[in-house]
Amino acid sequence: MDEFELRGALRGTVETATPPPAMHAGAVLAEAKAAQQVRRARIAGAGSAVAVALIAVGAVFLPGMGGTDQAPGPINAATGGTSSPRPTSRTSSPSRPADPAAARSSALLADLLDAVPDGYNATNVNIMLPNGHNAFSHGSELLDSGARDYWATAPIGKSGRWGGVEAHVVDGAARDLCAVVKDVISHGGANCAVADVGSKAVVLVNDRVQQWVAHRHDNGVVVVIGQRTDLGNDLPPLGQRPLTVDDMTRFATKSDIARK
Amino acid sequence: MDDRDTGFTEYFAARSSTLRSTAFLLCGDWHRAEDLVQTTFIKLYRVWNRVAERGKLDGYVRKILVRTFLDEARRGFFRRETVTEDPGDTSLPSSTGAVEDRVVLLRALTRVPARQRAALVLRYWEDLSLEESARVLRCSTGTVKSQASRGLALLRDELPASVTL
Repeated sequence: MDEFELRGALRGTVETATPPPAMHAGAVLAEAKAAQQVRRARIAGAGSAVAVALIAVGAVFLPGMGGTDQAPGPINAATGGTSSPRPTSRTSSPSRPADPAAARSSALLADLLDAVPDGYNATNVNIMLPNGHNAFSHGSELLDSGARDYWATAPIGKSGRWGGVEAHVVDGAARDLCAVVKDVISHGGANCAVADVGSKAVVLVNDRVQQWVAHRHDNGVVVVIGQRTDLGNDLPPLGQRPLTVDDMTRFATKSDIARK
Repeated sequence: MDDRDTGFTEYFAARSSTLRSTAFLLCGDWHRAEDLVQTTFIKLYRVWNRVAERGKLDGYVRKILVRTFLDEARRGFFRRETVTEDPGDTSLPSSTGAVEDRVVLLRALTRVPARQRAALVLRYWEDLSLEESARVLRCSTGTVKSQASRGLALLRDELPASVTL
């Protein structure tokens, strides 16, 4: 298939697809006006909104500050809405899907949860990020470099404060390790340096709120693990990083993870 | 309805279908495409009165759409991205006819990385020049060339030999 054939094929694809009924202009206008009102209100009352949010967050997490680590219920950081608490256990791992790619990323999520230190809650607490996605998730996709990236993410909490951990298994990564790390994270990565942790050669990325460790295994697979002390939403951030560099290196260099 | 809302509504009525088709090729799903278009128009409404040159609206709206798609297509937690529902490693079915071929093409397209897919859609669906595509994607023309070339090569690999386009 060349460029001309693709051009024709794209047109054919749209022409033969059956679109839903035309979108309603009035409905979109109403959404746009509502969004603008919300935005104006946010800008006008930014100071008081912060105070209200702090009070709301305090109300949600007050029980957690009493020493229990029970997960909060679903929290939509975008809207500030919450639903009833959903107690879960850290030992609960995601069900293993039948699809090989989904199974591999699901297994990675289970490995990631195993790496979380005791004392932290790392269950499926269904915390929603500002973009509406669940922070507890896994998946796979092709990177721009052509390598296949299996990834898993989980929010982790302690005493009502939340951060996150994330892992990637990159299959087919041909470039240097720092480039691979940059490929799988969106921001930062400039402070990437080769380091020897124990007898293992890794690269270490240290940014203000995030930290990454990556290691290339003998089979060429790169395992990357990251942590950050906040979730990028209104939830109170962790006071310190949950994992040590040794913990992260242990994870990144674990041969089982690279072979799965 | 004031002048602003009237103008906005008329523009939406004139352009939303075309934009929805572009969004459909980007994300491979009509419902997501509608969400993308709606988000795009909500962003446009915010600056409607500040867009002085109406002649440049189409390009501006296309830019919002593609960048919104790219933002939403990022993966992972630190990038605030979405889970890939499509398994990715399973082979695409062989096809038996033109309509099926289009469906297979669409599925193959969704497996092309987001920026490469955007480059293909801008170049071969929107018929934008390299320079125009580069402005939308915020990169050099050389990058657009390489992204489109890699996207096309990947698309070839993903498509079963039986598919005739």
